[in-house]
Amino acid sequence: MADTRQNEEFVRLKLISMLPRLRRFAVVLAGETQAADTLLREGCERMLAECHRYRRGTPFDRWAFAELYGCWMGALREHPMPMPRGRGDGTAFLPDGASGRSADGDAARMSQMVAALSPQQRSAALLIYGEKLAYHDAAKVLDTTTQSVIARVGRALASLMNRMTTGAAVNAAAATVKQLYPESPATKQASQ
Amino acid sequence: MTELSDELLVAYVDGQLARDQSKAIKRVLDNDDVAAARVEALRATQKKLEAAFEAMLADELTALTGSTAAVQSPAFPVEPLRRPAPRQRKMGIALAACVAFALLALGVWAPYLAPVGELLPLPPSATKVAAPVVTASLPPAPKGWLADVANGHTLLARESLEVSPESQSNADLAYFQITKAISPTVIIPDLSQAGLGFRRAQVLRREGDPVAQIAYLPDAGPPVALYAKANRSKDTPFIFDDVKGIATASWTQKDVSYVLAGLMPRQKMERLAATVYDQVAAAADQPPPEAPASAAVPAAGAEPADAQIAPAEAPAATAEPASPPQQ
Repeated sequence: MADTRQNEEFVRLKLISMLPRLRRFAVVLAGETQAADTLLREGCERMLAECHRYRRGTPFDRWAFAELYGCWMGALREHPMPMPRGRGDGTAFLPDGASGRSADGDAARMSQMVAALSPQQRSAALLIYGEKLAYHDAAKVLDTTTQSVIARVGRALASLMNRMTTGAAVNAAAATVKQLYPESPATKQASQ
Repeated sequence: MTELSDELLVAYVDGQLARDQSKAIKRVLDNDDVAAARVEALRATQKKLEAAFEAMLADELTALTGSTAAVQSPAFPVEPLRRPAPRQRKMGIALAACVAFALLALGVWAPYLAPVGELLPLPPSATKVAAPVVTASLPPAPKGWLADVANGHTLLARESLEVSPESQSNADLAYFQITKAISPTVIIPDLSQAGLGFRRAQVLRREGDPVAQIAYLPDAGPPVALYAKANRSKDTPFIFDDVKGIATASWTQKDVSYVLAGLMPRQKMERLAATVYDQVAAAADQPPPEAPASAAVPAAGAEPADAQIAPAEAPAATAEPASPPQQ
């Protein structure tokens, strides 16, 4: 009994210390902040209720991420229309979204591009590039194989790279048009 | 052009390939400009993605520290956290844990975590363990997350955020800032022997007075922080305490009041506090005075000479001899 209570207390404290990271993971999974908060709350409830499943010595963050991911997957399976779930809202990924401040153009573009990725790609990318997990650890969190994680991260990064390249080419073309035809309707429209 | 899949190139960029595989890829890239350019583009994308994730985390911290109307007021302007540079990315996780943990220690709850706050009730009043003859009443615990947030927010100051993360994590620059704000006798203790690496130092404010927070991280586990504020009163003995599950040690030494806080067993906290004490004393170029030393490490059943002196802000409720720190 004492061990259970001690374990619960340990999990509770660790959860609190991890809340910013867990919420970021929840936002990446859910794609928008309101659903992320719901997911985070349900995840925390589940982790506390099942804290006995946490074994000392296991990296807590991986356990917590895996539980949150399991919670999200469970909700996804039960949802009548799972496909649209997790479709990203670009504002959720803006750097200053919570504080309500405006982000610069680069950050806003990157947020839109990240939002356009699938939740699986976003979460794999976050675990690798945001949380610095090794591929096999990320695979455990996402309950999949290392190869799948490699594929998801590869597709995510390639997709972002292609969008950035395309965006840069479009911007360059627009700049050329603006330079050559400063009085064109398109230039005027863009400058308004 | 050699066909290399994006997955393979990404794994190469991430350094996740075996050495032989990496060498093979590198040989290909040396002879294939198109593939090499693609790898460079992937690297650039990866850095931007890392920066985006870091910025998201910084945003979560902003939300925790001051984005709500309840705590945001002209009297406490909150500057947006600076977007971290890519090379700081590894610090991001540590920073998040550190700030979250510090907020936990301060009893701060983010507004969006109100349901979780209710779900995760604060532990009952911590048992107070104090040095001999120290008696003081505990202030009433703030009720509700709103009060906790407001309390925690009062510690934030301009200098907490306007100093760049780079400067805060640079020990020399951080030392310069905290000695200027607190006292020339403050140091950034080297706790590497205890497995704790310095991460950053920042200046907070409590009732208008500067308070330095010097944060450390072990290889694994929660952070440890040393808080320091100017206090031109007599040196006082250690007071070991447990506040909301966080072990603390507090004392006054060389015109500075210190609080060491971290999630660790009492004995470890005692050893750590003794280490800090010794380093502060050594830095002051004076051997630790006998009286404070004996007070800090009281023999069982013995009362230190200045045991009647209560620390300026000792929040102790019950008197209980502090067990001697183990060196």
